[in-house]
Amino acid sequence: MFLHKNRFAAISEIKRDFLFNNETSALFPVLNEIISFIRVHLPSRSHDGKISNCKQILIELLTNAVKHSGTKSTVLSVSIMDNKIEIGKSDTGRQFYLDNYTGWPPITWPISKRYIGEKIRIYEDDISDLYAIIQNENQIVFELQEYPVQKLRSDSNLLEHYGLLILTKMSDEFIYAYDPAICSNLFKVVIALDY
Amino acid sequence: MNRIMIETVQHSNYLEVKLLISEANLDIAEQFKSEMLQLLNRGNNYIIVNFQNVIYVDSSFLGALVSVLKHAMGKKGDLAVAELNKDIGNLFNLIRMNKVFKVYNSIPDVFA
Repeated sequence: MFLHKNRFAAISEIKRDFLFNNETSALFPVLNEIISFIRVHLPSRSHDGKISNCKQILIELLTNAVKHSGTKSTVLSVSIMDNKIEIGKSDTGRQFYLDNYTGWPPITWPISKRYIGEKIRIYEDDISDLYAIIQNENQIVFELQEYPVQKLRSDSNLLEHYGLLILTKMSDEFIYAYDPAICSNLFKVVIALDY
Repeated sequence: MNRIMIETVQHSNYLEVKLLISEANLDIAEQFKSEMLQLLNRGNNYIIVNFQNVIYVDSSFLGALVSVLKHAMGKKGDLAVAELNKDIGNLFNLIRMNKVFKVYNSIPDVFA
């Protein structure tokens, strides 16, 4: 565990890592531990809405770890800064998979330079589309496009996979980055704080 | 082994499904979906799910809920939710599930 507060810099940053064993039985205890840590450092009630968002973001990151990482453990890093909270989830498991969504030849990480700037639609339904935009060879950013919710009918097309959508919607920035040097996957979420 | 997850209460024009679990997550999403589909298949076309005991909902459970809604609509029925806590209410509002599902603050007398 790493706990650090830089009292002398203009921008303070409090950072701590939390270990998750990728078992659902540990999900709620880890969630509570992290939310308690955030609340201690952001005690004002004015942050309640953003802390509620953090809670859901953490639930989705932890769920994602159980479902997709294929590893025994995941590290959650939480940084609290003056104007934002950053939550990172890293593991050395499976890389983020883009192949199903393009008609391109198989995509491996690092991604070929010719795809930089491409916007790949990874989900679509009647009320929203979710895109992965390739920012560089090792990083994508998620972006959500929403459409008005019409009266639902039995043949309405609705997503049943909400994990990435929730992470994108509840954050101010949501990225996936691959570090080839250590074969590590990072999902990073930024939540801006209002003052 | 499956856990006992729901309790049902018959109301005037709908069935209330009270969730007995506090963590509505990926571990129980499939079981929830299959129990709800059984209720629909028995002719309970209007159902309100009571979240009174639920602390959090994850995307897997939400996916199951949407899947059940689609089945209900296929039977010309509907699925609503009630008694969401503040965090779950916040989630529903932000991702606009409050426009996909009817949301009741408390269990109503009639499904309207």
